[in-house]
Amino acid sequence: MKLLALLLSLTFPLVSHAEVDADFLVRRYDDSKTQVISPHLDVSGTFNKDTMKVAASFVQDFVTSASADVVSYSSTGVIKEERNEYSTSFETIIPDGNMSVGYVQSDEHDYHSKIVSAGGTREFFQKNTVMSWGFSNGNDRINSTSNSAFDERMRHQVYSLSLTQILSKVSLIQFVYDFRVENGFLASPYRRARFVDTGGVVTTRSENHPLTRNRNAFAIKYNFFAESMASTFATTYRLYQDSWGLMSHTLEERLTKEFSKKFQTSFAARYYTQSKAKFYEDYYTDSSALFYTGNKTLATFDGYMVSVRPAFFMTEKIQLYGKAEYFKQNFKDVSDQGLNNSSRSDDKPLELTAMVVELGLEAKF
Amino acid sequence: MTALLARTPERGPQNLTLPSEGPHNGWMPTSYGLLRWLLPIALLVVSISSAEAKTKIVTLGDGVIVYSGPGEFYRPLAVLPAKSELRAGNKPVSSKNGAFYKVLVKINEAKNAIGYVSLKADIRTVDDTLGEDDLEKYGEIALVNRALQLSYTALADRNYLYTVGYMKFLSPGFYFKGFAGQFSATNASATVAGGEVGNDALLFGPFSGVVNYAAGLFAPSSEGAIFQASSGMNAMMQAGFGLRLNMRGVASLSAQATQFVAFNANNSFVSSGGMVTLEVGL
Repeated sequence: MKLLALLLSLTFPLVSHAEVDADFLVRRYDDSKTQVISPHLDVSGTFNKDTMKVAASFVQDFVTSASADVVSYSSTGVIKEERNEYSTSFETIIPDGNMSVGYVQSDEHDYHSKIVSAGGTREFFQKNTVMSWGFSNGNDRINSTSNSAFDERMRHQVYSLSLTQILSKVSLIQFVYDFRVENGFLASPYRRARFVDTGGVVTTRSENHPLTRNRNAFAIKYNFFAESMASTFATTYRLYQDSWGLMSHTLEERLTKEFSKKFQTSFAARYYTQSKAKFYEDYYTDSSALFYTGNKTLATFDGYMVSVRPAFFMTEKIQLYGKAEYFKQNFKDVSDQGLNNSSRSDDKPLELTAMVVELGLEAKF
Repeated sequence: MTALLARTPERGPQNLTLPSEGPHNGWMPTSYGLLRWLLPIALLVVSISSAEAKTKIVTLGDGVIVYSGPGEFYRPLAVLPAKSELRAGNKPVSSKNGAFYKVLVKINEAKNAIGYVSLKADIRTVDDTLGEDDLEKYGEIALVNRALQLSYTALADRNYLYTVGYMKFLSPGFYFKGFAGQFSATNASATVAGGEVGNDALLFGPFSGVVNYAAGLFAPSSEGAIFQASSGMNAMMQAGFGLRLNMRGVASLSAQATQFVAFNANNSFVSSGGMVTLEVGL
């Protein structure tokens, strides 16, 4: 941290006020078929009398998976994967607002992504109303372990607008609209769509998805601070719709309770439901179908999540926190294929449960 | 002597003791021999030095606007709440919009800038004994708050976008722009029109940072032109960030990285590139 402060001081003359934040976090995801361990390191520093901020982060994902989506290309039935993500950003405070730019790069051996982003905020009416907008431009390169000649591209852009209104001393409301457009190769080179013929014999094909997807999400958030309970309630509703015909609803409630000056805990519960994409089928019966997929996230399902996140302030500048999150998804039209890959005889409805555990340490210098 | 130069907004312009006014201001005796000449000379010297003196103004109510130049056609630099204190030059500046105090306004914790407050604003002067450490060492920005903007965007694969727009700064550093223009590809073109919001804030010297977001309509010359499955009327969005060089209110030139999408429910055209803009103050 001292090195970063020194670097900032050499680069910027007004850096003597620099404050450096560091956050180290380890996350573990486990859904019984796939395990992901992800260490995160975020470092940020302010300078120029705290009006400017630079940040950098590094994330790794170590994936071990026996998921049916990918194991068909592994001789052992298990794949191991590593992803590295680097990001950096710059933010400056301006009169009644701020501006920011950022860059993210993510690399796996068969997937590379580069994203440039920027955004701004503007405060009106003595900071009671805040308008924000952000956008990003990404270019992904997709390869395949099983086919060295496979080399596809996908471009994606995000445009985001939000309006936050303070309603009273203890409440605010926020409206958010996100538009994301994806263009190019939008399938996976590994996933297979399942076809069944009139004799009940199952065959598979590589996915074929439309080359574009326009995704719209609208959210309303309401935050309320109950002083007598020393608690904050955050309620969110999100409506999602895309050009593939998929629609979803998300309802989330988060309660953050301050038990003492040194200890607080957040509890969250979320319900999610979605309808399937227009071209999704569990088993395709029409062999001449134009689009077909093996992506179960395009199916009909609902799910819920509960989580708890305790945070302990060891000192004014050091915080230790943890998180445990459990979620379950019930798929209406996805079959979990059994050992017999050529028929549906031992299929059963797919259910997915997962546990996510996090442990983090945040410090200011 | 500087105490004599304390001003109220109403009296300010009339009470100025300008060098040329000294001998004619009516209160000086004229029958004291040598003093008859020495006093005007002394007053002249004091008046010249007093042109550098400073005063302080205090806002009496909310919403006092500090402009980047001496007129309401300049961009608002700040909107001040009541009881804000500003260092000011004691000699108001006249323009076709009236008289303005030249003030030092705090843009943020690390940046001050020269601004102008109308004498008609809800303010009063309170002190004339400030030090010499301000105003002259800061440059003026003098950005107009309304401009005609021409933009040229070069996107990947020889696609281009030209627009003309009218932009107006609604609050300090925040603008709205209405625009119309032409999208040009190798074998087809489209008409575009829409609106844009953006932040434009001084970062260093005459350079400001720009972040903007635009949305509008995209009408190709024929269905299926520009991108497969395009219809007669599609939506478009464009966003970018970059630097703008401000040329003292006469014009501004910017260079930006930009991203562009035109889309309908069936397909999209996604691209990115560079944009330059030229603004001329209105």
